[in-house]
Amino acid sequence: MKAINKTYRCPLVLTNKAKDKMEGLGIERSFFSLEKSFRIYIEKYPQTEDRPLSVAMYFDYLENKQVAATYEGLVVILHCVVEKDRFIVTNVTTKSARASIRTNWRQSVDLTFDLTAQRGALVPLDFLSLLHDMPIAEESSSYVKKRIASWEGYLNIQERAADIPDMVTRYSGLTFNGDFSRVTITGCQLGEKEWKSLKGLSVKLKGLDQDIGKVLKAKRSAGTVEVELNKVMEQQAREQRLDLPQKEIVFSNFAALSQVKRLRQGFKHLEQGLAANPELEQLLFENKPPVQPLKKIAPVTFHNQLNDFQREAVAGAIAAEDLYAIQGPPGTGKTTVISEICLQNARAGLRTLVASQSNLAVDNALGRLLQNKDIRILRVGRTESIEEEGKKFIEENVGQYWKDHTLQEVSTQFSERQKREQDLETEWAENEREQAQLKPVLARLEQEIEAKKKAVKQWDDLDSVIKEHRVNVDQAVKEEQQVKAEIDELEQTLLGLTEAIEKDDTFLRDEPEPCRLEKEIEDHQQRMQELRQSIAVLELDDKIRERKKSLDQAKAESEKLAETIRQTDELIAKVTDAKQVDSLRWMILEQKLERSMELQQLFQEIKDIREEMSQFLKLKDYHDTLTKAISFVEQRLTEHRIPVAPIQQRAKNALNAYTAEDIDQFIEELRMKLKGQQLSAQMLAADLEGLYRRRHFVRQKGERLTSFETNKQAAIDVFGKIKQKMLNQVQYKQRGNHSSHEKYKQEMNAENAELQSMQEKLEHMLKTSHRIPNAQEQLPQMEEKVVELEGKIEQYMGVQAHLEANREKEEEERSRLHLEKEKLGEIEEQLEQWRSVIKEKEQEQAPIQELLETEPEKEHEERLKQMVSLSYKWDSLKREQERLPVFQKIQGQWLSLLEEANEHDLEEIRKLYVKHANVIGTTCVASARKDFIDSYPEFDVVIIDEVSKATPPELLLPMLKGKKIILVGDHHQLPPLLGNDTLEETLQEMADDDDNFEGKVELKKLLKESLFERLFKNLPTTNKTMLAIQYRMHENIMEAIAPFYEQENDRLQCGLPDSDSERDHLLESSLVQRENHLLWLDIPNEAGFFEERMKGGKSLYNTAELKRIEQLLTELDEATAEAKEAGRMRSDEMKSIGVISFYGEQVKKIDRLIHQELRLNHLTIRTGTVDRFQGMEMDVILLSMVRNHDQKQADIGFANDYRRLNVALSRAKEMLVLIGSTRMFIEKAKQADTRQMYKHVLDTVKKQDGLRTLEGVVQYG
Amino acid sequence: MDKLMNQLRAQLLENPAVEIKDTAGWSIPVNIYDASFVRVKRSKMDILIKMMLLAFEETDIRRAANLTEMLLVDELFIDDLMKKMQRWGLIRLEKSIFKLTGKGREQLESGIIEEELDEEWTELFYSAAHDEFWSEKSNETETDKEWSVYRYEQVGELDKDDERILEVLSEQENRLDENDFQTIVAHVHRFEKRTVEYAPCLEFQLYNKDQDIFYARVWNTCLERWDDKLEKQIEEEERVEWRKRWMEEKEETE
Repeated sequence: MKAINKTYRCPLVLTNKAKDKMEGLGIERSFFSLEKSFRIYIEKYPQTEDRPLSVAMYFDYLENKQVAATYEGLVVILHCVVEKDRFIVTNVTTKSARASIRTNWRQSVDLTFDLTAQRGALVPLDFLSLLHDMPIAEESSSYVKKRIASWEGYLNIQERAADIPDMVTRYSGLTFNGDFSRVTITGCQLGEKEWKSLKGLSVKLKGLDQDIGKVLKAKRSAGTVEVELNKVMEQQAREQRLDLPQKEIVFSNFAALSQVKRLRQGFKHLEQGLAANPELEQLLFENKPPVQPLKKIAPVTFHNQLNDFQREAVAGAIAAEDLYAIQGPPGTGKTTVISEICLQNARAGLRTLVASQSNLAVDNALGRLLQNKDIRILRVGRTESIEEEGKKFIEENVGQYWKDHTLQEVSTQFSERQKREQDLETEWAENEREQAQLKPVLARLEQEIEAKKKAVKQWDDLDSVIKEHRVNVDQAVKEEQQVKAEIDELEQTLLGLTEAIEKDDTFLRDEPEPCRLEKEIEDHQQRMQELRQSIAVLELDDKIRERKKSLDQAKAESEKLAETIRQTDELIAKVTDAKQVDSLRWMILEQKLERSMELQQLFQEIKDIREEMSQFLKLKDYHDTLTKAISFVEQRLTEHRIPVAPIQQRAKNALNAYTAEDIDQFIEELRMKLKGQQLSAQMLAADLEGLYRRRHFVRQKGERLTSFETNKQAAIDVFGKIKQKMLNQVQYKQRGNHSSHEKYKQEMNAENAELQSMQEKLEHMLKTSHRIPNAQEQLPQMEEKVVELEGKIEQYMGVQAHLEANREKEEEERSRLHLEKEKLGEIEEQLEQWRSVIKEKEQEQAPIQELLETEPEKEHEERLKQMVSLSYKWDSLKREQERLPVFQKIQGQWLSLLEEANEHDLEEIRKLYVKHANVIGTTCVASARKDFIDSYPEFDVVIIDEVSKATPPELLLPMLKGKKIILVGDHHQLPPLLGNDTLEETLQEMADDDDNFEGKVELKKLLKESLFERLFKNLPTTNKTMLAIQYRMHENIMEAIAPFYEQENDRLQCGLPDSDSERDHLLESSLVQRENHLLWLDIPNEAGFFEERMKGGKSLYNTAELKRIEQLLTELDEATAEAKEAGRMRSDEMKSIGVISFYGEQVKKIDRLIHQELRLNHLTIRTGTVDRFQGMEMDVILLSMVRNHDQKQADIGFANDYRRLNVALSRAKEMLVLIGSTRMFIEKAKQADTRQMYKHVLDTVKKQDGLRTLEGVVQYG
Repeated sequence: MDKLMNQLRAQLLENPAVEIKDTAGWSIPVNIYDASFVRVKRSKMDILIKMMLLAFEETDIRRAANLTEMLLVDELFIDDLMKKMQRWGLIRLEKSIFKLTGKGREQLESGIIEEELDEEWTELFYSAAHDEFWSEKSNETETDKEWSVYRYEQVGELDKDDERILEVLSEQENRLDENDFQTIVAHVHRFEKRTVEYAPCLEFQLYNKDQDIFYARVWNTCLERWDDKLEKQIEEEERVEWRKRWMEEKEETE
């Protein structure tokens, strides 16, 4: 969390408990005035409902100097409850100042304490809001706990295995093995339980300070313990210094336990937020690591030769802010990348930690770093476990390393400068000579420049004359063009006019003259007169015919109306006489009279009145019936002397409604009752009441209706009204009929008079004209003809006028043309004159032009530059000459000092080197050692190599220290080794040792998840790179592992420009040809070739394969000898061969075979399990696959893991030979994936013609 | 010698799986050289400081970078030491150039001065088979009889490599006294072979029947230890032969 520099005022009160506590701790009240302001780290407690905001204040030990001086070695902690106006101290504690109090969830603030504050003076608001925004301490730790629970499983297992008390026993003797690498301790006396837990413990002999080694095997029955000796013990053993008189031995697991403790400590630190990168928890445990975006960096200059992938990785690692992952398949130059990153960091002034799981890997990485004065490498760790490559970087040797390196650089420069001395002389002379040559050239150039200046002046004068004339010429030319255009136009116009005149002439000659045409028109007009009169006659004929027809129509109409009038008179009479409504209604329908609203309403009124009258009659009927019945019953009751008045009264008060059916039914029932039997008085009374009630209802209803007489009168009134209305209507119609009739009569008279006059007119007309048929059609033709003739006359006149005009115009244009031509002549003359002047002047310019085109200035400038640089060089040469002897003298002294220097002389240098070391190498676990943490609490960058080989808890240790972490590994290679064994072996052993071993499942789960794999897959592409070009294997060998990387973004490629020449194994034998790089010696899958198991052992071996390896090694040895003889190899060269196997027991057997039974003078052989060989490379690899059986239930064990196969196949540079049963692996393996995987290998082998069957070998056996 | 032989034999047979197939006694030649040399006594002073003092005296140094350029030493180191030297009062700035103070000059002189000591003489022991110098030939074990010479003895003389001899002598003779003075071998004057002595060795050819392994053990009486170099040489040459021989014998006896 970043430091806040603002100082806040903090009102404070102490509870009595806090005061007591302070007294108890010896803290005086003056404590709060020790500093002007205090640097405090605040931690916020989780807030709950019943607990208000509360915090702890840690007084920083380093910043608060006075406090530290007064309370040495202690950090004071105030536990406070926060209120709005003050902090209440509830408790005071202290803790050791050794542990850091800075964590990711503590906020640093500067505070001044105010113990005199009055209530109501508030705590500064921004201080409160700062507290509010702070994370809560326990939240982050529980978050971590949850995520790392699975890692804990691993630690638990280790811890349980490690928690073993020391065991002491006497022994009788020590017997060493052949090469003093092991010792068997005899006569040990231990308890039964103790025997079981011996394995792996470190062994110490009483009387000797150092451990002698680790327990390899304990045989309780024989009382012997076999110990693997530490390398340094070999000398002691050979000198018999281990033969000690005490004969007492101590087995202890202190080393393993302290290692587990360190791992545990790592967890604690992460939980306590002590990681250098505050985001480390999230980066490690979030599904998507929340990495910061890359910073922008300038293009990187690389110091190593790098391919594109390597460049990308380096640039990415530099630009990344927090986490970068590099996946490096076998032989892809991971170390080169690491080396480059270290150098880049060193140049940038950053300190880098290079960590790895094993010492070997650390030393490998450091050993390959570039030797450069900017890089100061320091190897930290136990000297005895550091390999040769790393030794020169350990603290006691860095002085020497520095000396060697500096000596080399200085002597190189020294001897170069010696050569330089002579060169300098020649350079000096050359420089002077060049300067001398250059001087006259410069002088000449200056003269030329002067001449040129003059020429320029002359040129300019001429040019101004030319320019002036040019302007005139330009103007004249324009004028000339205008005149020419004018002339063209005039000529064009004249041409047009001549044409038009000719055309008009022709027309006038060909067409008839107008007087002839006029005569023709006159004839036509006379004829037209006749035609018009005839047409008038015919039209009059038509009109007369029409008149007659309409006169007839009027007559008919008049007669029809007379009939209508008579009928209407009859209707009026009928209506007047009508007596009934329905007959009126009928008349309306019949005569189609208008049924006005009024009329309809009146009809409805009559209908309503009638209905009411009929209802009244009906009610009257019911009343009569009921009254009759009542009087009957009343009479009967009177006989019984029952008064009826009360009953009647009661009935009146009731409110009932009855339908007609009700009443009918009631009376019918009553009638039946009366007829049938003797009724009681009560029943009669009840019936009577019923009757009363019903009569009462009828009466009431009747009262509501209008009386019958009134209705009758009303009906008569309405009837009268209807009649009147209808009469009105009919009479109105009749009046209309009369007036129409009159009109027609008048019309007929008028028509008759008109007809008369027309006939007279016709007679008159026929006297002067007669009827011509088709006159109507002939007339328009005649008219058209006349129009046409008139047009012709007009056209003729027009042409005549036009011709006249054109002739005049022609004359005019001709005179204009003449004028223009004269003008043109003048202009051309002037132009000729001017042009000749221009030409003259230009000719004068030509010789000057040549002079102008030369550029002496440019050359002058260049020469001048040359001169300057020469004199500059001269200066620097002079300086160099002066300095050289000084340099040479000083460096000479320096060289002799360096050469003579012994380790005492380098003491200061060593200290400086260690102080300024910027690349520190150590193992993951060692990076958590106390002394290391003290010397190097933090690094700018932590690079972890071979990440996939370390367990997550191991990785955590160096990760805690880095602000930026760069992970380098390959999850397609093997996961961590545990001790000497593969994981499966360890698991098997754990399970065997303890039947109730619960941790197995847990551990297995952890082993499945590779931290690196998860991170690599989930990081954004900006934060990772796969190095996809390998330089180790011949491309034919690479083919075998290519599928393991097919899922990645880039295919694995071979970076060797020519595999065949660069990875030529140079061997030729009957089994191996030069072009063979990948072979599989097939072993039959049948008895005699099967795997075997040691008695009492777990690991497998295969004798048949051993035999083949023996044959093969002998053959290769001979082939190497032959290659030397043939001059393909140097005589002192050795072929490096690795013989590896999936099984440890087989490796032991191979080892014995090589040491005991073979003498191979031309081979350097290393043996090991595949797991052990990860990271190594050899010229040739023989892989003994061991598994071969015919048991249905058994599989192929370790060989199932593709990562193991990947490692096995990728160790060889020149040739890889697999020795095993193809049938076993390709057909009999249980898992389909496995079979497919081995099938690919076999297919690749076959494609390269590399499959060898047993028959092929037997002949050499 | 017989006593030693028996003692070693018993020790080897403590392991019940081990059979001694054969034993032998022979000796290796140890060349004894006479070496005379001269040592010098000088104050113990760090070379970089000395060089820097020299440089301040010789030339104008304005800043650390000047020295870095000349000495090819990291500027950080130079800077660090210059600050120290200023603190100690060895140098000071004069007209923006660093100069030695009186104290500085004194220091430089005492650092440079070397007092040459009288010529000295010592013996060096060299085994060609090991290509090693032994600091002292301890035990004068007598050889009872004329033992043969080690069968893989390297023939030829030691290359008279002065540097190597100087190195060996330095390792043996350099001293450091309490007063910040050291005495160092400066030159070798003479180096001559005086004589050859023979160091007896006892060889055991062993077979571990549990592991089916043949191996050699050679006790070097001069070094008083099992000699791994000789064992290895013998094993490399003969082990395969042994197996053939002993296995054939075994088959014959069976």
